[in-house]
Amino acid sequence: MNVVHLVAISALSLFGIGLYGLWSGRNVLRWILAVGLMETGINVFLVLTGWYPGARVPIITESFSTSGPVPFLDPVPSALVLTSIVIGLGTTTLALALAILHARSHGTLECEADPETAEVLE
Amino acid sequence: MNTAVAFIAAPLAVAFLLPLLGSRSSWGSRAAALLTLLALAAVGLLMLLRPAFPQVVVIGGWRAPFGISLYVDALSVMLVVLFDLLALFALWFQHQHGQEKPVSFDVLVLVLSAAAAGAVFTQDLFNLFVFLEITTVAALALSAPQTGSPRGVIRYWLFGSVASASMLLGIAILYSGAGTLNLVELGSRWSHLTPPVQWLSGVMILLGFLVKMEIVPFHVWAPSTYRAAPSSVGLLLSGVVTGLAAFSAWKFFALVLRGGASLPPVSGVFSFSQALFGLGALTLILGALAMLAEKDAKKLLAFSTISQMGLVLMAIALGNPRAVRAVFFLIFAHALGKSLLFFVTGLVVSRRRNSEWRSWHGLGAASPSLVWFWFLGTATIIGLPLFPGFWGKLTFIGGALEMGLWGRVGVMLLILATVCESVALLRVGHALWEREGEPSPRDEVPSPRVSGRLSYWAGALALSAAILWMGLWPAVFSRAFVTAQQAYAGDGTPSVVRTSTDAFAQRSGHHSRREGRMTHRQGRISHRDGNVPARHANVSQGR
Repeated sequence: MNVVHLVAISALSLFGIGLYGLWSGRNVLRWILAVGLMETGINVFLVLTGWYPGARVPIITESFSTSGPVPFLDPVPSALVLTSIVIGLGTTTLALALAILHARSHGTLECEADPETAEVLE
Repeated sequence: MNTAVAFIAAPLAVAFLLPLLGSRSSWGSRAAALLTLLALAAVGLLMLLRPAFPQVVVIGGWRAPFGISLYVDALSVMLVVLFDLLALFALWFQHQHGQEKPVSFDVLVLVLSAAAAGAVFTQDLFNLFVFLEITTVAALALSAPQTGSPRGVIRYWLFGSVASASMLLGIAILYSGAGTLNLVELGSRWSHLTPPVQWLSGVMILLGFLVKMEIVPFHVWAPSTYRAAPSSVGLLLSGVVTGLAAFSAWKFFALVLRGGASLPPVSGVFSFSQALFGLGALTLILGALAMLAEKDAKKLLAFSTISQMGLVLMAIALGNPRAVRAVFFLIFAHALGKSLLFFVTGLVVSRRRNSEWRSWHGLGAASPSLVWFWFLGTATIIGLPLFPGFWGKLTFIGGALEMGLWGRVGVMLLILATVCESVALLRVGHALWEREGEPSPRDEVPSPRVSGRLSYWAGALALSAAILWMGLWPAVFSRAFVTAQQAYAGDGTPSVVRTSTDAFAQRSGHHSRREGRMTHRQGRISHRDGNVPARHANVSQGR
């Protein structure tokens, strides 16, 4: 059990908790939080894919050329996580706006299935 | 800088400038949005007239497989022109007939068109994911109702979020194993991955595509979303968002999974492709049957989209050259035909305030052209000979018959589904044509004329001309489809992308293919040995 395993397990647990949150309730805010947890779990996992024990931060400095063959951390996952966080912010904001619309039109945040839409194949 | 980048950059730039003109859609903002899309479509058509394909555009000067590259060929330009024209059509329709005209509609349609162009061109898996996310966000915001219950859209958001979460996790797993995000490079490193990585990433990424393609059982969000959204948004959801998801799914399936061939069988009995084929067949038939039972015209069109996407998935899963061409044909035919159907639906709903098609009688008598346009759209979707859908279904049948028993069962299901679909769509046309019918409580206005305005004829005839062109003269499309199919099939990679990758590999001493296994982790170890791996070498060159 090293650090990598620990982080991987916590990342996947976050994802699982999020899935359970989606599964176990019908409240819009609960769904938003659950999706947020899933996204966080994936982001942690992404950071982990670029990590390597004993590797250096991938910033080129003066000392780089003289420091010898020390491995870099992979900078790509960090860039991906940055993008993923921005997308998450956008969708969460949109979902909160939808939650406001829902509260205005139904007076509640419990999103029950509409009886009229519960038809064939739905 | 290349003209292809303009398809992504120009609509985005205009979209972010539009709100400066005010929060209401004004004359200026509408003209700016329409002109941008029109200009882009014209540029695309010019590119098609003087073809210099294929081109590879490297973003930011980072060579493939390290940077993001755009692959521009005749097929991708045609798709982008199609999406831009549909966006133009939807925007114009909303300006003419929509109830509400906030500037956000113009902005979101432009963002959608930019993201669609990006997703069509890109050769980078994460970039594809980002562009698909942007289309989903734009589509979500477009379909959110101004008044009334947003439950359908919340369901769309929920399914979309889980789909993209699954896709992102799949991408993370794939990256941790392969160490690249370039689709072509992923395809060539795929066989070196361990089976758990192959399975987890392949299934999770495809799951994301299937939700966006509205494949049964992940389609549940679609009918209620289509019903709540204005018809112009239904047109965009069905023609652009879903068609784009289908094309992206095909790109992933063809380039990375090599037509499913590189995945081991699910069990001894059937393979991964056959599982996808079965899912597509189920979607095809269930969607068509649901159309027969549906009373609401918009939901009926949603089920028609679901059914058509089932057929596209079947063609993707077959993966032979003819089936691949069928994928392209079907995406085009579906987008064109469904747009015309949504156009008629939108006009009728704007008059009757009711999307239950049984109450539509009488409108056809006042403006017969509406019925003709409905039948033209129907003929395109069901594939009457000499209409676009016909070429798609014919090519599909040709591809399916090469594949033995599975293919033959698929063809039988296709015929059955086509019959159901024809009946469902023609019934609506008939209701529109009838003078008398079930009395409708909201029918206080006796059959107003819908047609007769210049804007009506301009839009409807332009779309009809495109349909007739593709139906009567499919050779132009067919040639581009064959070229694209061959380019992608050659070693599973568009040849130009492959060449640039190889050239770089030789220059930098990158040894993935010659020395075999080159996993991410080994790359790091070789770095420690003083043998600088190419990816990291490029980082230092770039700075």
